[in-house]
Amino acid sequence: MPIVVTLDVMLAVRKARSKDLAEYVGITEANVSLLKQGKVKGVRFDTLERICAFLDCQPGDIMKYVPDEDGDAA
Amino acid sequence: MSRTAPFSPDDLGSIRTVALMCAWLCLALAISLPVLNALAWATATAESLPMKIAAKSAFPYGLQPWQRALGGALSMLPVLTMSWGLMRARRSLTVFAGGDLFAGEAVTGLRDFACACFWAAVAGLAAPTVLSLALTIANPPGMKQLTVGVNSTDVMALLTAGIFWVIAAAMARAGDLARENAEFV
Repeated sequence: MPIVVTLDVMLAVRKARSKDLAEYVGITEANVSLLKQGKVKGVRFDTLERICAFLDCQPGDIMKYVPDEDGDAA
Repeated sequence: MSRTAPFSPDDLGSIRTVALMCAWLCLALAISLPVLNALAWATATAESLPMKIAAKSAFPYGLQPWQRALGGALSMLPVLTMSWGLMRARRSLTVFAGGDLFAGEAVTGLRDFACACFWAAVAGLAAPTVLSLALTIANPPGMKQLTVGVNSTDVMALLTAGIFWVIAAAMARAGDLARENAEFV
């Protein structure tokens, strides 16, 4: 999938726990885990805002666009 | 005023309560309608038959047992169709009462109920014609009857069935959207 989630990297940089992030954002730990693995269909702006507020980062710090090798988005 | 806000807990509570009551009513009707229909025909007389089926004059010797049996059997078709539809509606309502408003099972049940309503209404439109013909077929020439009629109740039943079907189809789409929405965090 072209959108790669790097939330786990930012969590490590900020030395934050998924459990604390989940509690702050208001989603379950299971959903945080799915998000880290990139297995969700989408992220609400509200959720993204709270993640960025908790981790003191920008949206681009927790996800990036990596096109497929042939240059087309999947 | 359109509503876009999610349902409050009070709304869901009302839905569950009414759904449960309607489910029990569906069960009661599904069982009692065929029984009452059978009883009505078992005790029918030429005088008690509705005019839309046949006039009293079509039965100079009264209503014979074979006519009661035939009338009961023919009229049972729309009644049993409706009973099946009511049981399917009961299944939907039971799922609603459990709080799952967009379950596939509930939508399927509602669609089946709509289909049953439609076919029962069609049978209801055809029943007087079929019954009048069947019950007087053995009469001497000049005493046979054929009834043709349309009434607003049957037409409304057809329209209601169509509306139910559309609502069920919309709910199926809503269920798909709800499941897709659940995949967003």
